[in-house]
Amino acid sequence: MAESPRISPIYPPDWDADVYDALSVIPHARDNVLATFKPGTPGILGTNLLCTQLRHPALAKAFLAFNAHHFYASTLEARVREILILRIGWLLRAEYEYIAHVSLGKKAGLSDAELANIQRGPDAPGWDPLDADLLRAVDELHEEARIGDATYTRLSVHFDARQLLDLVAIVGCYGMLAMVLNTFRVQLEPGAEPLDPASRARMANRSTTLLTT
Amino acid sequence: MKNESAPRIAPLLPSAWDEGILDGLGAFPQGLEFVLSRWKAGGVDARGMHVLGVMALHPPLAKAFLTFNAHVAGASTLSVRVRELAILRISWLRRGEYEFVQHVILGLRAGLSAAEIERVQLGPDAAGWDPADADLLRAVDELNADACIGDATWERLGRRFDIAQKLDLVFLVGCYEVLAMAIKSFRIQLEPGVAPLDAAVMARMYGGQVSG
Repeated sequence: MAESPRISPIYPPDWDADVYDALSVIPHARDNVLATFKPGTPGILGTNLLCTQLRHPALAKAFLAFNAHHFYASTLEARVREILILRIGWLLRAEYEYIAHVSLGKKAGLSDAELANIQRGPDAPGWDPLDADLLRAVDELHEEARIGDATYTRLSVHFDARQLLDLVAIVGCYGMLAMVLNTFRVQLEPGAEPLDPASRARMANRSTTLLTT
Repeated sequence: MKNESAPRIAPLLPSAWDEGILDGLGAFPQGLEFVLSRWKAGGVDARGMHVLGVMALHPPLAKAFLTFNAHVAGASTLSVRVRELAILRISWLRRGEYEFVQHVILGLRAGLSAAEIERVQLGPDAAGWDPADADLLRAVDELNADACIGDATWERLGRRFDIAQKLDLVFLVGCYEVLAMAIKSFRIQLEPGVAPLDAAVMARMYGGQVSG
């Protein structure tokens, strides 16, 4: 992660009515940022990403409505969502996103071994077959913008149409956030622990599985 | 190999759209009104109907996504011409025939020439681009390849676009990438009466030419 943002976030002291209007669609994030922000020391992880989007309140309000769906109304359980987000964040080398979701993934019940295995991908030994297919779907969406036949067929056994729609949408949403984080060089908040050097080197050299379609 | 022309999730047709579905799809009023008007006129060339028909299976997601899509397609700070160039390029790179076909029509309406639309397929280094248009395509290519706009392109884009426009650009590319993933994963088919890409263009799309 380079050391300075390409556009600066807009923090709570500078929030105006348009910003508060945008944040009305994501009240828990607004409240968390407000509760932890102190001038000079931006608070919790997520603050800088949110406050970067808020440079354009109309866009932020529209996008956050889509983003909020995934944690307020998704038909997928939290553990599944975090596996998908961690894998796309990893593939797109979005350190900020990956770090934030390691913490959320642990809360959703992912073990340290599973978190490490997400870096290695669907063919790493030890995966439950359904978890491996979730990772495979992310890899295929990343590579080919579609889930391959074999993976889709197996996922359809476990997930209904609404869940499959939520699956593709969440990968797309967090892939988009990875592009935002990387392009605008959104910085980790002071005090947030960056990725360990070994993981960072692996992320820089990460690869997806070879596709068979 | 399964039949590529069979959808993996069958769209609900407008006759089955109830109040809850219409509330979800209504988050993008222009899209919904267009499809409904074509449906009432006999259902031919109702571009977008199958995408809305699949989203209709999950109204809360439809409402959330289409709220976002309505912004990037309507309220964006980018000109329509810039938006259509970027959408055409990401659709091309992601091999999204359905989107590409639709945005050839919208691109022509936004003032792109047939030659420019042809050149979008060749990418930023093709001869004939205005430098600003070339950088726009380059930004899309870099987002697709690296999930990040590179330094040189970023610096030049900054002479043309302000912060809101740069945010709108990245989110626009992201929005149409989500659509490409959904359309291709669920094998959403072109609507009756919508002409597919011609065979030569389709072959080029799948030939892996991602830059000029």
